[in-house]
Amino acid sequence: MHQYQIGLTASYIALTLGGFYFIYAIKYYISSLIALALFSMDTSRLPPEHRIHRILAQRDGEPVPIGDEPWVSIHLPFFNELNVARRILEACMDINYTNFEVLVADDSRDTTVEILRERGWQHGSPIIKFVHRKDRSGYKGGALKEAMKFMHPLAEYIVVFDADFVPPANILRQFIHQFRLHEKDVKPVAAVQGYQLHYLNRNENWITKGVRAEFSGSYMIERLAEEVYGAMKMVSGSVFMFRAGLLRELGWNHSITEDWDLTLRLYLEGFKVVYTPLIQAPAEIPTTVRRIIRQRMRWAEGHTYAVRKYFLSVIRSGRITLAEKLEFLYFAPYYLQSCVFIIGCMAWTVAQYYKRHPVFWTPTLGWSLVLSNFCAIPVMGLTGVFLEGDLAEDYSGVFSFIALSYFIMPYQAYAALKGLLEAEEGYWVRTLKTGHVTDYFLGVKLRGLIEWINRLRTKRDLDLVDDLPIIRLPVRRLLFFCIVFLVCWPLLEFVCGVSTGQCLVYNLGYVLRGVVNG
Amino acid sequence: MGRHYSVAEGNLYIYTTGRDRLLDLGVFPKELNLFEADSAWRISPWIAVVEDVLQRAIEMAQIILQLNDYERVSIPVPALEHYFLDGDEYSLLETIREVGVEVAPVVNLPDDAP
Repeated sequence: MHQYQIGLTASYIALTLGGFYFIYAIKYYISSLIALALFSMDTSRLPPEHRIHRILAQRDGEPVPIGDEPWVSIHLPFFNELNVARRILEACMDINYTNFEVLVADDSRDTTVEILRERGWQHGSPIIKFVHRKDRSGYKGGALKEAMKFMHPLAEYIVVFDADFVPPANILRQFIHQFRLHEKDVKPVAAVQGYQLHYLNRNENWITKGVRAEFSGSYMIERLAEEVYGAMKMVSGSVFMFRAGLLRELGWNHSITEDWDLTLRLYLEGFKVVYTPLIQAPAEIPTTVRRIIRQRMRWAEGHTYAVRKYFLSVIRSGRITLAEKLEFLYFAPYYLQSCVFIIGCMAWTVAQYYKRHPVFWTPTLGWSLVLSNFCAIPVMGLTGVFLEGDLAEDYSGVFSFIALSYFIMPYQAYAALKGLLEAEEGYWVRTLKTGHVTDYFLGVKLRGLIEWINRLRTKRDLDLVDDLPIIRLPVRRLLFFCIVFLVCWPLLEFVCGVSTGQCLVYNLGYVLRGVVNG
Repeated sequence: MGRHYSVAEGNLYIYTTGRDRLLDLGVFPKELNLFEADSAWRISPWIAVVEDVLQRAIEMAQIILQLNDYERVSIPVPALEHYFLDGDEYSLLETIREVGVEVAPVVNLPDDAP
């Protein structure tokens, strides 16, 4: 093929993939803007029933009255949790609530069983039950399905925590309070998802720092924005409360991403998930690249498999809103986006090498797309840790995350394609929990977050903020302007290029003619 | 108050009522494979259940249970399963009263008993 065609074809591939990824980037930037605005806006003028109020509702101020505590069954799926079993059980014993039980769904093959059969757990307050299976059929979904057979008959809500989480004492009241806030919603709430605060070992190594920044971006920014504009939100496997009656009906499937499978089924039934970042449970972060890769491959494969399985049902469903469907469409190729970015950059390099590109293409358009796309997730992570008041400590995690995300990209892409093409899902690879703690949470963190949000919301005048470091408010403005610039630059370049150049269709036709003619 | 056990449908049910607490389940030797990784079992504060127990293991377990003052009772499985779910001992005691306490069969200690 003539060099001209090669260059032009590469430039169109770069433009298409760059534009595709830019759609994701725009979402990340807009989400960051929404979160920044949300935590700094004066909400006093909004009516009490406004969605914003409910998102930021602080359950500490409105506890669930004693005597009005619905029965809650906490389910803890275990598989060889020797390092963390005792920690989460002790945390559950400290939960400040009356009517609840803890039900451990155990598939362990190691000496975890010796911990579980200790007499110390059998005080009866709270009730702790252990259900041990001799096989691992259905993986986590299978274990949770088994747990449901043995939960208390009066249970109205089910809460799930993975074994490496440490639920704070007031978490059940927080969940119940959220359900009550959404009682009058048109679309009934099936579950409330809290923030999986991957925090406990954040300073263990560069990987844990990176994942901490990633989760901060996801939970403080992306999901929060999804809640604001009413998009489909995922039940994320841990730190969520579900209506027991509904979960009995829907049941757990034996998927390797049982949470995503359940999410799609509940939306198909006409229910929704509510997310709040203010219900938090700290957890461990996987500590090695190998563990991260295996975890993400499972997510990518299971996610894509479920998308394929339910795609048409979701698109055709009359019970799912347009915003939810759009979010589903956005989320469908989620695990291929890094791949798209890399291939797009490579094609762009080829086009630059041959110095061939469409007429409306300018070098600045290419650079602006690359820069905007490259910065999208890191900026979201930075905004997340900034809003949590951890920017000074956790900013370096963003660089780790960039490195990590591109390193795991090919594995993730391979697993996503596997989920898309294979007849059956693969098997579950568990993520080892080490029990290492480098940073204690103990509720102080949460209180700090709430105080920090309150300050941002109520004390606009910097002079009035006594103990707030002066750097923070300029950082907020800086982030805001960076985001606006990164969104607008490629768009303006594109508009200018098209308005001064030739028609896109004409160029594409030229390339195709070249290919046909050899 | 009481310490009881039942054997039904191949399952072993060990349970208590009143202020009695379950015995330390670590007393059962590993060889019996009762509360080990390779067997299916359930524990709540008032009842422990092992499923599909071998006859020989049941016999050995009975010896240990009797040494710990547990008495054998024949109770319908649904009542025992319900007791696991909600720990409602009033309905369980009612059932025990109805069926009466069963005399435990005499079990001879085998030569290789631990």
